[in-house]
Amino acid sequence: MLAPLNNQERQHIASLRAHPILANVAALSWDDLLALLLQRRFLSLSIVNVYEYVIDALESEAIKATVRLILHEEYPRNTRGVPLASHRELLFRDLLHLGASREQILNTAESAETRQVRLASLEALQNCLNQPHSDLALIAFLRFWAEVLVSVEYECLWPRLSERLAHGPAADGVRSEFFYYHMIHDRRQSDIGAEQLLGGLTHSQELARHMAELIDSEAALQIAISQVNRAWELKDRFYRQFLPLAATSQPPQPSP
Amino acid sequence: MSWTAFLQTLGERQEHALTPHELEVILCLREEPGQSKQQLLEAYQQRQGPIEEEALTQRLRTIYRKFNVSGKGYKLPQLQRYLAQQYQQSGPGLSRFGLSKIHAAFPTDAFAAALERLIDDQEQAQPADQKEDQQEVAILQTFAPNLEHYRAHLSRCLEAGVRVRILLAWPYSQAAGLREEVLKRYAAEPLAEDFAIQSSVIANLETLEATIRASRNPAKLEIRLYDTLPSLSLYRAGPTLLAAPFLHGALAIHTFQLELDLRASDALLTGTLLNDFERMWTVARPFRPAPDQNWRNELKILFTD
Repeated sequence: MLAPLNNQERQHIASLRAHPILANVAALSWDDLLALLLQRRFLSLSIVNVYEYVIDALESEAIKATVRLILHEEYPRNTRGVPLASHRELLFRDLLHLGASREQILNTAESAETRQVRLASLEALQNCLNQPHSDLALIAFLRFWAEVLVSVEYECLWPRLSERLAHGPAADGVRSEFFYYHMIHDRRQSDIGAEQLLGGLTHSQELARHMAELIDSEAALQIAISQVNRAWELKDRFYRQFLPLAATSQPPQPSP
Repeated sequence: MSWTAFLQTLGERQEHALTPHELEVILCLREEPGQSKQQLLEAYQQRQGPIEEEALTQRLRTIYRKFNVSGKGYKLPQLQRYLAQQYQQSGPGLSRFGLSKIHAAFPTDAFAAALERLIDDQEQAQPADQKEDQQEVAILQTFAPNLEHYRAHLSRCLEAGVRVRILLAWPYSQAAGLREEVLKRYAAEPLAEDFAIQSSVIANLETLEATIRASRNPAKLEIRLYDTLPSLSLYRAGPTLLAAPFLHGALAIHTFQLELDLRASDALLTGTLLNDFERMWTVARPFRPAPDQNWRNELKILFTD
């Protein structure tokens, strides 16, 4: 039952990896790469709104609980209730360590294309409502747009980011606190319906378990596939705004 | 109870009124018959350090008197036979398996005392005498509700150079979630409304983070997390081991505890438990809540990386 959906997801992942921008990040100058990351930040900032919208729109309390848990990870606290740095703050720190200045991050305006993609993403969620499989549609879009493809994007970017950011507890240099972490814990990890009992579940897998329960008919399956298609189109469109950079890019300069 | 523990207990009984030096001699006696005086002297020198043969002889004479060893012939074999007989009569047959006591719940003070003994032994031992496999603290739990209580002890263990191994559940594992659901559904006494294994393990890691921060010897503290289901909780301080099952109806520390002496002559119980600890230690993944680092992100991806 789930095979066509899993196949479609794998095709879209391969397609995004082969995107003219993401397949060629090695050729981007650091200025161009930072420009891309600063636009990408606007999508990261919008994640909270996307998650909040889905929580409000979902009917299933069990799925709401899963989505709520994922959202709350964005704002961690220690066990005494003291707030720790939010994931948006960690993104800010990673961008600083990658070479963006504070002013650059704060003053960069959202491009028209980024804004269109961001608004279209919220609109895609609105279109999930008022249909027999609205819960499925909401989490299918959310999972692919905000988790699976995010991990693919960061996986493509990581070879460049790792020139200036390290990872792991024993890492030399500045540790990535945002990009590396999301690359791992957002990723698809397994086909929908093939999650393992041992080992952890990524955010994608936590949502996939709900999807597997909801896909009980061909109609439901097609709903999920259409949402996956829509999420991929938006990500593809976001990166197309940078095609002029690829056209003018020079061989990468050595990292300072 | 092990032979050594038996000798220690017997030697400390008031009716015998042994001096500390005489107790040192008693502790060098073997359980098996046939130990010669020369072998006893060598055992003493190996365990306690140099001693003149005459001094040992003097101590033995007093010991014979205090134990009423007065038969004809050599006194040392008589003393050994008497002690071996007392040992066999000292407890039920389970003593050879190291079963010292059964507690109704986790014996907080007894474990603290075992930690104190371990610290004292470690501080007094010569470097050549230190056996790492004996001088160790180890805890296996899903989360340890009493970890904060022992924080000062753990810090002193680290300062004294004792290896400390902590093995906890990876808080994002499905196994941890399953244990939490079982406790919430079946616990005989209601758990706190906000009880969650995830935050309980993270609280343990925050305690260990504070321990690392305050320690001058943090490398001796090793922490690993597992994503499977253990069946027992274990608390070890040197030769003392407390083991309790994970029942449906209660936290492990509120369940009966078997106190075991790891110097047991028959390792059926102790060896099985220690081997299983080592097996879990092997499959678990190292984790370090490094102070001032954003370790919660590392924790989240520990088993998905």
